[in-house]
Amino acid sequence: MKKKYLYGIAAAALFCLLALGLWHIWQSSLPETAAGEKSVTVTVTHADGTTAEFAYHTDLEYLGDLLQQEGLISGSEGEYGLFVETVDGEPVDYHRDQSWWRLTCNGEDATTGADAVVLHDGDQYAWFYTTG
Amino acid sequence: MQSSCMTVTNMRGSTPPANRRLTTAELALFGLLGAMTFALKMAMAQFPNIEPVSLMVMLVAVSFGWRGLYAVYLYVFLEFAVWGIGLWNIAYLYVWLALFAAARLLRRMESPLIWAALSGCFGLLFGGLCALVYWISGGWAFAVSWWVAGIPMDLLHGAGNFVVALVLFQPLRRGLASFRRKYGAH
Repeated sequence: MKKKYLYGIAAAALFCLLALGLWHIWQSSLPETAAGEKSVTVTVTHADGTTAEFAYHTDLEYLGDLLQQEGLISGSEGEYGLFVETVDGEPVDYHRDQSWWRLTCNGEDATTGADAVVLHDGDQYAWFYTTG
Repeated sequence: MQSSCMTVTNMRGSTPPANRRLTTAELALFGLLGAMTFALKMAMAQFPNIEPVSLMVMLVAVSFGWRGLYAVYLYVFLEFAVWGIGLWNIAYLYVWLALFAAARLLRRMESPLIWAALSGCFGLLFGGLCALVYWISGGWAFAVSWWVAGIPMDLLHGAGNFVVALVLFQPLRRGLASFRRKYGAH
């Protein structure tokens, strides 16, 4: 077989190996989900300062799935996952007044979008209407 | 005679010396290629992480030698001028240079699979290369988490680059060589 083809096949194999390696790294980085029923609470702080609290019992594994199923949040799917636009009936518009919904998990700012937050029994989540 | 010899050597990767002064024709050509790269990217913006820039960078690297960097950095300038300079695109100052240099190293290769693999690997590593900026600005932990979170996008980028280069690189390379033979552009 010509060297040209051998080199080409080797290069394509290298590409596939690199892709597989990256896929493995990404899979390893995903947090482990917890099976079974979980009880969580969600507090919403609206623009006018009023708060509302919700308690849920669920077998779902991700916060985004739970809150969308319950109708508490809605948004649009983007390149980086779910972009939350409405919580408890109150919409935000970042382009108009730089308002957005800030999410905390057990008192700390979430490091991912709601659709990637893994539910654990007893977790406390909070949404804050935020500007700027 | 000179023209046909030039074409043969160019297809094998030989390009004009980098220290020769830029001609008016080259100035116009590189301007056109840089602007075309930007326009093509905008036209394909609806396809996430499937882009023509990697293909164009490899093409100018093998067709015009180091002088092709004029076209590459004109494209980078247009990105900065239109979108502003931010953490997300400051890496353009070196990522395209890395691909350009790799293409120069492989310029004698003719297998479409090798060019597809180069472009594909660049797409796969794109997030990692860009993460260097985040390493400097936010520390290595931030850079690694940013890179890992974007791996699905890198996989899409790599696959898109692989297919685009596999289908288009060699025909366009031959087309550019033919263009240079016909119009004597260096």
